[in-house]
Amino acid sequence: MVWTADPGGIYVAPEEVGEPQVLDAQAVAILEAWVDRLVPGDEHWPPATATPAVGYIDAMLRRAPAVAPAVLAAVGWLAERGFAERDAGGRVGLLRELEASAELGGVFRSVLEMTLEAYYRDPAVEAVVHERTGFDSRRTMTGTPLPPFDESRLQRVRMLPARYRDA
Amino acid sequence: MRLGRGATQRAAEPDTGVSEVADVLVVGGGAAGAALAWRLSQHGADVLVLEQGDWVASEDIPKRHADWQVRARRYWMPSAARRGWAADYPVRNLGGNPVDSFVYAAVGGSVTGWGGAMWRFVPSDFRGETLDAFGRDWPIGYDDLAPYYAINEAEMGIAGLAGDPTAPAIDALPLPPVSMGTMGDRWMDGFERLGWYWWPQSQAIASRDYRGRPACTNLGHCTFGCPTGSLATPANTYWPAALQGGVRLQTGARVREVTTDTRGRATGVLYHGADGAVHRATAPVVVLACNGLGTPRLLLMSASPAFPDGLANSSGLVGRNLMVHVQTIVCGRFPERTGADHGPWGATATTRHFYETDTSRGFKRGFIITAMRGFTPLDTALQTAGWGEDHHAKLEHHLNHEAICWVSGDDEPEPHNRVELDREHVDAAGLLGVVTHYTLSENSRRIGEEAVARATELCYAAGAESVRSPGFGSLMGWHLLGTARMGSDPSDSVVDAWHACHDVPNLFVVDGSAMTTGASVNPTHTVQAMALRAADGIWDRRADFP
Repeated sequence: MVWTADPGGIYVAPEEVGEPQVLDAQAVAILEAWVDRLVPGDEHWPPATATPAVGYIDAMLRRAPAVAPAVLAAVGWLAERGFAERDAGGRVGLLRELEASAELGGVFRSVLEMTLEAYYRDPAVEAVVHERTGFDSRRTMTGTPLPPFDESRLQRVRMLPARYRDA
Repeated sequence: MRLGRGATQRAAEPDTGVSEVADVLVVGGGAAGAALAWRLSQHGADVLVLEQGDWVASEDIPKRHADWQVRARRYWMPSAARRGWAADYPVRNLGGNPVDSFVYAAVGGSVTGWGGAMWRFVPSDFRGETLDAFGRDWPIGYDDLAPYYAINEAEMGIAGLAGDPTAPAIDALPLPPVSMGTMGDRWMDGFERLGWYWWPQSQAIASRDYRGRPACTNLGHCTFGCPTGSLATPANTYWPAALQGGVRLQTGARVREVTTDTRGRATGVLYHGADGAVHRATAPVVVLACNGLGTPRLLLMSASPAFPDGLANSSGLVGRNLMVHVQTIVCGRFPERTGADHGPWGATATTRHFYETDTSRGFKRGFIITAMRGFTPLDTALQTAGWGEDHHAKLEHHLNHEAICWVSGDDEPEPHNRVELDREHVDAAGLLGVVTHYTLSENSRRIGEEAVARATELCYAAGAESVRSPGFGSLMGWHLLGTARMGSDPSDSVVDAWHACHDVPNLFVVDGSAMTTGASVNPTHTVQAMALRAADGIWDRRADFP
């Protein structure tokens, strides 16, 4: 069976993310370990576990209940293989198997997407994005003054002959 | 909403027995419907517009919020097959190159999620068959639309510059070109190094305060909504003027069929109202402006004993000849930062250097390349950064160091590229969805390969050190055209030169469905010019519609 876990246009607002309500304690533990390997931390960037990624996924499952069985199937697949007991390298290996599997590869992708959504909208991560790349996510609300178009740039093109067919 | 195989559309219910009556009934409040309704109201016609969606609430514009990237990716997504708004109908996309159909069911239509690019066609776009043995000739030409392009340029408030040598001369546009920014300068440097024709992209963005809309402040990522209203949409241009002119607009109105009389003339429509009841609207003139999926859907849903293959479909072409443009992107990676967090996103400068047919290239017709800006952090992460230990390094390598070239080529109308009713899925009112089938032709594949090669060349000329491109496996479905095409021969077209259905002379199709060929450019300006002209035609012939 090929599982799919696409919530489509379902949007989860930050205020909807809280304590998990769909995922039980074991599922939460596995997902925490899962997202920790999807986006580990380093000296500049926080890990996904420092953001409410698992809470976001849980909230998404509440808003899109049809997706829950697929995500839980993937969690169960990892649990059966002792995911939580493995070291980081072992967990990465299992996740690569999951990603490559015909049955659950789509679910892996959906969980990655949800993790990245939660991660990149976290204010602390936005600050690191700005610091490390110069991309200021707040500019979409504040704007940026830019000089007007310089028509002198067209000096060469204006001298070219017409390039279209009459009909 | 899934019914299973062989499902039939929800059976007709008795209507409320009360008709809305108008001079002209318009189905669809998007780019075409809004322009047409406004123009007719200016003439004094009583116009009723039925729109299945609703106004986009200011609060729902993603860029009003700190988490705009997630909002844009979720509830604002353009993909009709996945989004799930209450007003959406099911869309499945099949074929060798499935189209990810982008449709917004809202007042303003699919322009809700656009970037503002506005192009006039050029004369050869209307004569593909005569000039290049490509598709069919339109029954109208550039000169027929020219005055209406000018009206639309004023009404939408187009920013740009007259004098483009790759197109006929035009009068000055109402607004100067939008700001290019640093990345725009790089793209222009690239064009200059290559010696290509290029021009600042004409865009429906207020580069200065215009008719009550403030000048653009370069918020960026325009397809995620414009909180200031600097980006024109029908909702902030034609619609306010149309409503002031007396046009009546009903939102939440899902039209289930066009009704006809024993003479085979359209009498109006039946629709599911926002109250859940079935209502009737009648008018001597009925206009369908539901876009390249919605219009054939409604015509096919309107099948009857008199029109067993769908209304106005004696040609068999309703739903056929779907054109979507040969579209993809080439994304250049630059050593310097590209300013991906600001500036009009849809375009800086653009080239029609490869527009006209040059048989030495091995294909008919051509393409444009529009030089744009970079992706968001979330989209860059999803596209390039994968997962694991190297996620952050990959993100840092790509984010704010990339900028896109968008290529769009002229795909030939082919009957097997089509829109059909989906017998397996219905919308919230029990009305059948649609299935699209699309496969690129050999000519289109060659256009695409050349376009990617040239866009790559431009990226490197502008200073890129590497490029990436997703190719054409699945096509972006922003432009859905040709599925009720215009022509002089009733056996080979659905509507005539004035958008009247050959089979049903008081039924009109006024949207991208009516395009005979699609050219290589964004179609909105031409769709709206066609709508303005169609309105004049309806008004001038009003004595024919008692």
